[in-house]
Amino acid sequence: MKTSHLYELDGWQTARGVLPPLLVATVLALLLQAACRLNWLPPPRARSDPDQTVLAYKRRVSRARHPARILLTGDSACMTGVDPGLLSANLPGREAVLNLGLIIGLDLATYGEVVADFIRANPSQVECVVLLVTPQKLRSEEESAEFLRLWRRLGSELDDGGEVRPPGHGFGLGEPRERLLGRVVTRPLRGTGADHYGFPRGIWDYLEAHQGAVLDWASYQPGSRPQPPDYVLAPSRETSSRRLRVLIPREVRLVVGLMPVPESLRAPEAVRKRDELLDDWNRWLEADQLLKHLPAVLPDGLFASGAHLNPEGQRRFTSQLALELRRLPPGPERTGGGDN
Amino acid sequence: MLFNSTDFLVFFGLFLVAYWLVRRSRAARNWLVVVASYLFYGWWDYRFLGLLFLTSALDFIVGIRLEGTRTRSGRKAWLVASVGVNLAVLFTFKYFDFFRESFEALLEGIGLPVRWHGFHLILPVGISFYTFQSMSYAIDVYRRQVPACRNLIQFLAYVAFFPQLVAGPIERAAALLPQFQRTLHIDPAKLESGFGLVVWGFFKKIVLADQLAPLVELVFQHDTSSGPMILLGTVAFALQIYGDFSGYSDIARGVARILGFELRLNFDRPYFATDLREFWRRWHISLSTWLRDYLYVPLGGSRGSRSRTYLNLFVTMLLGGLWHGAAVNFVLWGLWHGLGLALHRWWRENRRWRLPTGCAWGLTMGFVLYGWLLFRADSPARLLALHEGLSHWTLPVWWTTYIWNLTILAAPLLAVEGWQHRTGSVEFPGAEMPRAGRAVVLGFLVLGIALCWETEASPFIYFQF
Repeated sequence: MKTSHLYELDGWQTARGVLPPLLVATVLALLLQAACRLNWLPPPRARSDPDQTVLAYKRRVSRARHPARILLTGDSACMTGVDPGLLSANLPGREAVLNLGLIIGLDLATYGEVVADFIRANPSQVECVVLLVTPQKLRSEEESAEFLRLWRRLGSELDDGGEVRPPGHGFGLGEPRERLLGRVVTRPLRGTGADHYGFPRGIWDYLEAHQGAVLDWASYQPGSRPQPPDYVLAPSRETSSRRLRVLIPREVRLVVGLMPVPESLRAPEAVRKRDELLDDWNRWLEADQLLKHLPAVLPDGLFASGAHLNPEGQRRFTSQLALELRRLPPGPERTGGGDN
Repeated sequence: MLFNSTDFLVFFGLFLVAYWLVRRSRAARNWLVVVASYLFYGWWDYRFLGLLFLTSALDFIVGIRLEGTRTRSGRKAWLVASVGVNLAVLFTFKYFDFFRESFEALLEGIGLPVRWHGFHLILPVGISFYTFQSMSYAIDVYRRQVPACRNLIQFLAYVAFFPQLVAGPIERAAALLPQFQRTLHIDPAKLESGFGLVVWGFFKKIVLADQLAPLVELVFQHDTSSGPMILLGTVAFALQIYGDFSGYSDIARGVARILGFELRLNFDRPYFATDLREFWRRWHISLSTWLRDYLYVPLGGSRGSRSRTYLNLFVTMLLGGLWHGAAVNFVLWGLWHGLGLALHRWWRENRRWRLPTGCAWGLTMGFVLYGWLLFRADSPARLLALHEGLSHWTLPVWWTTYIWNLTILAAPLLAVEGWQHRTGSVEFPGAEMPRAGRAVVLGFLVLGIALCWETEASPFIYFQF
């Protein structure tokens, strides 16, 4: 039989050839883990993707000093749909506005929580809270446990002076990776809007420069089978709606509206259904005013997606919202569960 | 199966055990290599194993027939059969739909709209690599440069050898086939250098190329990119494709060396080239020499008139571009390099003075970078948008972050290659250091790989070719 291959090395030589670099790497990895435990490495950034960036920013701004007298809260349609600077410029008193709109993955109570945090950090300042959500938000159960956990973690770790901790991955080196490499090299954003914001830091900067609002740069493409919103209020929304109401002090006026949907998703009798939905919801919310003169639908060309307005849509909707807010009676005028 | 996957680490670990067990039998080793290589390839899509086998078997038979045929016409007929079938397979899987669509567009342009039925086939991974390797064997036997292989298992192992099966280096029969016919020696030096090459290859793929990929995408996926960002994105792509492809080649060489085999050098610090001809002597060496030996020289090379030589360069590089894929961007990339090589040749023949080295390097890199821009544009529309973008000299707000990331990621490669350029080494970093220093350098590289390792491996760019 012809010999295939000869090992001209013994076990010791094999080990000497391969093990030293692996040993060095293991020692370095252990040192990094120890440095993490001892907090010798800088904390990881809480902004490795757009959602985290938005939530980290909103957590931070809601607990900081800010001159806002009008707060916007709601889901991402609110965050992308209203420009606080433009809204402020269109109000008679030019009151400072802050958009605390979050994401649809968080529940209604969280939308109230972020406002309550702001009011605590800026006492006796806020006059009005405008709650804006998409009709879909009231129908479906879209809360994500992952987002809720992230939101809680952002809160508790900010209280401790730290930032969000990343989940571990990659040979158990997830934490050193985020605390070391994540600080040095930032992963760019992907998809639509990435060319505008570049990196998560770009979203943060935009949020800061635009008082909590961002722009969605996508263009809405109606599907072949459009699914209009059915303007239905899920009974499961009651608890979080009532909790939201409790979190907003009675002396602050609560104004509630629904974001418009694209024309191609217009439901039959959309305005009537939208108004009925607002009335139903208000039995739990007990808002001071309902924004029934806002458009229920807008042209498709003003949308980035089925829920988000595009930059032009944001401009148009913000002007209409300003008009509605100007129409409101001057002081708090509680209406109970009724209409405005 | 991807090198940068846990599957491969397990596969290779098991293979090493089996490889040790068959150390006393050459036949068993070759059988093991064939079975493991087919498993490696079939892991991606087992349906194309038949194609790999048929390509190999055809050239195996043709090799024996070529040797047994005395008449020139008979030998030529066998060669034409081999080259014809290989190219037909390649054409069917890789080019048919491209040429059909291009022809349809042409006819539509002159007012004759027609639609033909397309194949819409999946492109078998690495088909261009193993087809070229197998075909070159038949040509070498025809030229009487190598004897025909009479052992099917040895030949199957030569074509399908898993370290280099899907992305090269494209090996010549004269170099690799004899290694399946003799006793191999694995000594401490081979093991260490093989391991070092594997580590360096993984580092270039996982820490450099994969981390650069999102930076490249940020520029090339958007039609709104401006001139400075397109330039930066092209630099990032130049580094990404180099890290990706040369990383693969280094892993292939390292894995083979651990097994006692020697594969050819495929990259030799190409971005240090000071002229385009030198670039092609340093970039994808196994393909550029293949094109030279089996295309440029048979076309006449530089033996004819000047214009004929320029034409030969154009045709060779055009086909080299097409080898990468059936798309307009690859054709343009090939033509661009053909033009560059022709211009360089003209310059060499007519120059009265030499360019300073720095200028020559800058010009060469500018030329190469523009080539990468053509290569990376995935559609004619994108290419037009990129050219339009080049005229807009605005900077997005994130440009400093982009440059920072690019610099940080490129720094290790530039440092290592700069050092290697001074020392003339083509091995892994730290190869010429004492044992302790080498262990520290490789240890840091292993740590970098572990930090950047993703659970979901990203494929190598050249797999699509």
